[in-house]
Amino acid sequence: MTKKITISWTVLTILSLIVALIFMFPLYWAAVTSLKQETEVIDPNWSIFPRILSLAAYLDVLTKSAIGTWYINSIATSVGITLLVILISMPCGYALSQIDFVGRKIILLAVVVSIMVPGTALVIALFVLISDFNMINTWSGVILPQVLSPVCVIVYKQFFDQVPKELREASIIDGATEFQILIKVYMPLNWGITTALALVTFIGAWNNFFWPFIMTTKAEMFTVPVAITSVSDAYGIFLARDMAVAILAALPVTAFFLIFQKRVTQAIMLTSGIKG
Amino acid sequence: MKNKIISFFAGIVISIYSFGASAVTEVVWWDFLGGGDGVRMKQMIDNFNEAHPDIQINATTLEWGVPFYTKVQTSAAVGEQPDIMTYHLSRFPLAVPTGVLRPISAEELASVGITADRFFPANWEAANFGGATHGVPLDIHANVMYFNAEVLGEAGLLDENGHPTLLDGVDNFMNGLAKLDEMMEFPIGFASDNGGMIWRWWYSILNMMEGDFVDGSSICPGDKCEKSLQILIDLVEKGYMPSNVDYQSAKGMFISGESAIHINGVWEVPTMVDLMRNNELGFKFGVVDMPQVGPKMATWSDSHAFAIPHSDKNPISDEKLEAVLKVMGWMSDNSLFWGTAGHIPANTEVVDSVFYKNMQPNSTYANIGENMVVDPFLPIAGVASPTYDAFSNYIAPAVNGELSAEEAIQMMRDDLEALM
Amino acid sequence: MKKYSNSNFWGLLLAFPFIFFYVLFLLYPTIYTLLFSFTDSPLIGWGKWVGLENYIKLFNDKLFLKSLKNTFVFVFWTVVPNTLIGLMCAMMINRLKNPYIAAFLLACFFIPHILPVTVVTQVWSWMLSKQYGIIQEFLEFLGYAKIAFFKKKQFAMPAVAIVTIWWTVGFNILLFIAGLKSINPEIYEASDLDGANSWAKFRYITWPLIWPITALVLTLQLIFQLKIFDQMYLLTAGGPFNSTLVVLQLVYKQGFQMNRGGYASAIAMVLFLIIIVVSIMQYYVLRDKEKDK
Repeated sequence: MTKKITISWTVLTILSLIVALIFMFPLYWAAVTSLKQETEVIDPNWSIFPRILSLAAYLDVLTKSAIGTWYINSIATSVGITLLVILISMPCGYALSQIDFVGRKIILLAVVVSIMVPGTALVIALFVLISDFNMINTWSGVILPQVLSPVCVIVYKQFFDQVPKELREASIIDGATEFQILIKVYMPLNWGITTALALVTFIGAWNNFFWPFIMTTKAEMFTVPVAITSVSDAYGIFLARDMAVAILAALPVTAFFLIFQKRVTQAIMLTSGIKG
Repeated sequence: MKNKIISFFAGIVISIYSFGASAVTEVVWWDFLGGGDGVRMKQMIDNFNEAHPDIQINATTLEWGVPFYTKVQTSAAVGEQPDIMTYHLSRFPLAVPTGVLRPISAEELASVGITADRFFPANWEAANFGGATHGVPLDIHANVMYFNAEVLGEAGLLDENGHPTLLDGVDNFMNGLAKLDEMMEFPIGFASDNGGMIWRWWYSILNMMEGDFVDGSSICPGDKCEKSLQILIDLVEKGYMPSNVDYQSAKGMFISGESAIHINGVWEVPTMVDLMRNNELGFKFGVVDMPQVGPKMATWSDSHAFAIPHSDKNPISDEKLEAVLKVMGWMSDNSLFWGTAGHIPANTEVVDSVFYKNMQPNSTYANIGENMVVDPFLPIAGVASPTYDAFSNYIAPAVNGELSAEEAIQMMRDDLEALM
Repeated sequence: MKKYSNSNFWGLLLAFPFIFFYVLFLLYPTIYTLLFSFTDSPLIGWGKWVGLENYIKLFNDKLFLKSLKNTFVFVFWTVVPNTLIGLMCAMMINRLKNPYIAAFLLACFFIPHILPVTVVTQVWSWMLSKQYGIIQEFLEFLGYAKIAFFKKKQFAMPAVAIVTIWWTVGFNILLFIAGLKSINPEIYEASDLDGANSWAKFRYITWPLIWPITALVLTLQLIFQLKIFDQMYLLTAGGPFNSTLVVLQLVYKQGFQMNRGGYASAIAMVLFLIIIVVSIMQYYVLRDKEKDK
């Protein structure tokens, strides 16, 4: 009886690994293509591993394209969005959680309702709005439509709800203002959440295609995901280079994920409303 | 005190910045030249920048076609338009009424030596659609046939001058392809998934057959449109060219030696030339007119022009305008180098010069100038127009075997006649 | 007393940034889009008031109706398969004894999810390329001819769906694993004693207990896919024959390419309403189902 189980465990494990490797194949293939020479890429006699390992595609991208500028745009906008999201959502979550103030119920309802609202359908109005503020082709223009995160507000509220009331009451007796209570008590107790939310927001902001695509018309303001499909460069065949650019676009977020895996997965579950 | 120090340094920074700014005028340039010719244009831009320390072109190459023209339109609407851009003359009938092109006055042009007599009459007329000059032509470009001289030689399809012999008549062409088909899977590498590429070849064939695209307000009178399309459908059906191949892959098929013939525009001439110079092209290549499959000879052609986007929100300043005009003038004067991009320069003085006449491989296809036909001068035609859309939506699937020629042309007729 | 009179001040102050952006970037654009949809304006600037004309035109516009259909077809191809595949993979990973292998597997499935959409589309365009795609070699190996996935009507939508599922299934797997882990193993052991087989265990234990997660995943998927734009624009641009043109893409096309802001806003409002209605409907349906249990 036990022998049967062991065999099926092994079979299951091997099966799962095969499935995982098949799943990863597209990324493997893209990476391998980026390390081939362009002439090898279009050779009808293809091979699963580069016959000649070549970094030419990467050098091409790094020297002939403005990828440095695009990286800066991505970093600036992603960091900006992350900071603003946290700065805006945390106090609001705290207020909704701990303070009884006029309009609290309405605001809470508004926050919950806004999760269902498709921001992308408002693209025309937002484009006109940003244009009226003369913020097209600026970092602010890309950042501002993305700083609203009702999900972050809700998550913060839920976690702040769980902080023992005694702490707050003690601080009030000590004469602290709400702001000080937030900064000195609630925020430090929830660094884990803040980190998790910040990571997930950063990754989402970095990967965003739609808003930067709409809000920028000049190539030097493109973020990396937008640039890799919108800007062409002249030089014969460049299939390996396309892959190299894609890999370079994916590297930062992949690195982030691999380093902070636990926090990222925790954040995903939180923002979906699952405790864990 | 702190404030005083800050404002002092701020003052210095600002004055350095504005000093720097007034010394150099930056011209923001957008083009869509992503083919082999783009390499040459980048060289020209570098040459200009070197020769003009006070005017620096800041160039970006964007995706060709609809994305380019959409970006121009939206950026002009919000005042973020470039100072100068490339624009297809075939699109002028569509663009001029929308007000996206800033008319350039005769005085403004004359100030940099640009006058009507410098250009071919038909070309200049096209650039003046709508009663004002909306663009300065840079070149005229057409469709050609690239061929693998070694393979064609092996197949016995070259004459004693090294010229392909399958260019004369549809039967001749098909027979030649049949011979090549025995040697390789797909004799022709052609971007059969690309509506624009199909338009260019198809339109040439239509004119070779002396057919019309438009007659009054009806599209494709008679059956010549269907017959022209049928030729392309047959090529795929017979297995002479693969279905649903994208532009890059089609080029790759020719470059790798997989296909002996490549139908494309002249703008990939520099690609082939550069590959050959670097010994990366495994064979000797040639460029000639496309095969003549009808009573007449005809070659689709279009023209790149430099234009200034118009914006109500942020019109171009006089300073920028002066710089832009200088760029246009310089580009026109120095367009001999643009010839190495495969194009025919629009500047007649350059074309008449002995330097251009001897340029290779351009001189092997110089006679396309006699047979050029341009897109119909209507708002429904030209790059990124409803006609191009129809070609992507209906004609391309027909070429690739999804629709019959009659069905596809009829669908196109329905779409376009509704817009006439 | 001091506590109370300050409350309004502090509450509103701390919530203010959020409310400010909410009004500016949510309420105002919604009202603007609504008003704009009653005009014939271009993208920038106001045209003249035309009342319900845009809406009437909309419902007679073949292309709009097609885009609606396409959006729902896409939802059909992705929401349920994505959820089921997510569940199956999660169950597979959950059963692995070795936690390191489980973590490795989870990472493998999740990495696609953290990639930008343009990287995903570039990678898959290359895989499925008609001339050079490696999938074509696989098809030929199986004896089939090469397929131009994004150009053939019957393959284009499924192809985009498969790319989307590959991109997003990691998210579902993660949620399902969390849910599966929360099921008390003693329940399974008890059923073993009763002689239950695998299928019975799944049907009577796993499925009902995981239902809240399944409902959540379905809801999130549905809303996410109704808003689809990126993959379609990048992979097919709405082709072939407009068979993959989805509603948001039509908004972009009409608004930005054809410069018809008023008309595009009308389309956007319709999409807006559809998503809200569907979300509410799904919320109630799933909540009721849970009540039944």
